[in-house]
Amino acid sequence: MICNALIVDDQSDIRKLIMMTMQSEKFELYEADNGEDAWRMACNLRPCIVLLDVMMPGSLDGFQVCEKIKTDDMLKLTTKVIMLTARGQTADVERGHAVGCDAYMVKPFSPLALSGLVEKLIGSE
Amino acid sequence: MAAIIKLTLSQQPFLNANGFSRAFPFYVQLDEQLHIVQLGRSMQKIVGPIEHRIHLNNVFQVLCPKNMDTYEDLQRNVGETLTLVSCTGEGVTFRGCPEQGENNTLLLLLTPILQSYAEQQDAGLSFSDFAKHDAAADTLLLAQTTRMSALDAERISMRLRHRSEQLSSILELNIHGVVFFDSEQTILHVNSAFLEILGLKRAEALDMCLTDLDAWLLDLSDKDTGDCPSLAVLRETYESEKLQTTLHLARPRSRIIRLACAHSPDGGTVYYLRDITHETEVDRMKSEFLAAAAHELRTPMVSIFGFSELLIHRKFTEEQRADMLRTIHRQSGLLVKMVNELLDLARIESRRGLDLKIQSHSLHELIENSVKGLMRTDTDRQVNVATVPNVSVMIDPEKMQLAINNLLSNAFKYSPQGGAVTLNVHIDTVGAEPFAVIEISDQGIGMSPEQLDKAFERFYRADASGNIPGTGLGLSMVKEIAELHKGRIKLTSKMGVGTVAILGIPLAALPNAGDLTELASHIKKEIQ
Repeated sequence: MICNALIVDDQSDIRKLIMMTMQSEKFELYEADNGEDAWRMACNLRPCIVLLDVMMPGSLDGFQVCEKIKTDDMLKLTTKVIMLTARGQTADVERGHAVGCDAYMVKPFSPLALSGLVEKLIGSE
Repeated sequence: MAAIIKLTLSQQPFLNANGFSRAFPFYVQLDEQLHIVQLGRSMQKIVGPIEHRIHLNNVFQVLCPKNMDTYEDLQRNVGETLTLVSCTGEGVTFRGCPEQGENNTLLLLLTPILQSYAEQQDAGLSFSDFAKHDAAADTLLLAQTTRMSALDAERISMRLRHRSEQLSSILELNIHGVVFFDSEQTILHVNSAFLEILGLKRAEALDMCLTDLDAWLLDLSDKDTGDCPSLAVLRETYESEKLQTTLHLARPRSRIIRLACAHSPDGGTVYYLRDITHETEVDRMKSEFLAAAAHELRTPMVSIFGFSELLIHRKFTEEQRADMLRTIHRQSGLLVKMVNELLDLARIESRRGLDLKIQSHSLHELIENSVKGLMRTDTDRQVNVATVPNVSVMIDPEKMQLAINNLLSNAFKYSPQGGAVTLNVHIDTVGAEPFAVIEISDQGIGMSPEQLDKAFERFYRADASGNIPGTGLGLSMVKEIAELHKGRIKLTSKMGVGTVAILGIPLAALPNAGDLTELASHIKKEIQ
């Protein structure tokens, strides 16, 4: 079954990298470069997975977007969130888990490891 | 009783002349004509050298009893008190008694009457000149001890006074606040730094007890931080690690204070207030900078690491492979540039301009080299340079060129759709100082007032999309260079209209009148 994947990062090169990593028949890929668009698109697309950067321009950062998704009655049932960020300190990771992310990856990341992680999360559906 | 003792100078088996003189160092031996036969060794010191067998009256005057004119008069008074005064030297008074000596001689066994150590010194006597049994020596010893004690006390008190003055100066010159309470919780000492931190006058402070000061502190504290500072609570804490606390003061000005406390053995308490506002701010900035640097360095690494891994492990079309390699190349170039700029910035900052080679340099040449140095291989767009006045500026040419290069490169980068990039120069004065003002303007995307506010922050990028390459360090460096040259840098910008960077560089002394005329004409043009 094809499901929607939402890729959120303010850097176009990184979005491109994630898109190429996720390229498969399983996913319809969508991208957003800020928190507000990400939230709006998540509501419309009901993605099975969101790959979410933390530091982005605008009023919503990645943690806030994750929290909104994970406290939304509908989305929290259908959407897995992987935080994908350069912020690798313990406090950041803890914050990620506190807002309900399903996995936390620190940049630079291994695309193969990301693929594996996505497989694992979607496979566990 | 004394009258019946027959004294002898030589025949007594236990008392030879020397021993006798030690026992009675002020004796005077007289013959029947009252000629002085011999003097005790200490008496010799007082009367000095005298003629042999000189008459008693030539050396001494008998004061009491009166009329002691003959040998017989004195003999009748054996064992009775006799007072006489020396006619030589300082006129020392002696008291003692005549005793019968051998061979029809009389011995006057005397001791000087001295009231003080000073008199003893004036008479040229030391303690060894007195017989050990002589009470006069004890009296003098007591006088001297008292005097020495008084001198010592004065010396010690003076030393204490100096020490206390030194300590007061140390306390007063301390840049940190210090206050000392005695065991009754009354303020004993307080220094100016303490008064300044708490906005108190000395008289007010000295009137306060611990509770008053606590109330004052609470009033000054920043209510938003929820601090509830209490010196009294701190004082009751006995675990050493808890004898410190941090206060946030809102008044007299906003500060962060580290408050430490120590107990003195006499039950007093010392509080030490250290203003850590600046270091807290520096710490915060350092952490922010490190976080930003780590983030910015990681971003290009994500592409390099990620795309190369995909290329190794997965199959892509030739076109995709080429695109991925281009991205890796671009991002590694950015990484190199960022590391270089970080190093440049760190070097400029750490040297604080010490390695600047400031010299008088032609403005014309500076602009020409900066424009030439701008490597733009991807476009044929040019910088429109207006006429540059023929003046010299005080610069380190290499550094200033770097700054102008950065500004020009920004102008091109942030006007991707094209439009003119213009460089204008005019002369202006700030205060009495003449400046060359270089204006670099573009017709690019421009910045919002919020973006403009942050433009000089390290790693700040007005374009966060990554579409315009950059490190976010260029403008920080331009600012640093401008400041090291005592110059000015300013940006004005409007979203969608463009940005103008205005760089002011101090002019060198004008070499001749021709330049002055030219300068004047430029200024005139400006006014028009």
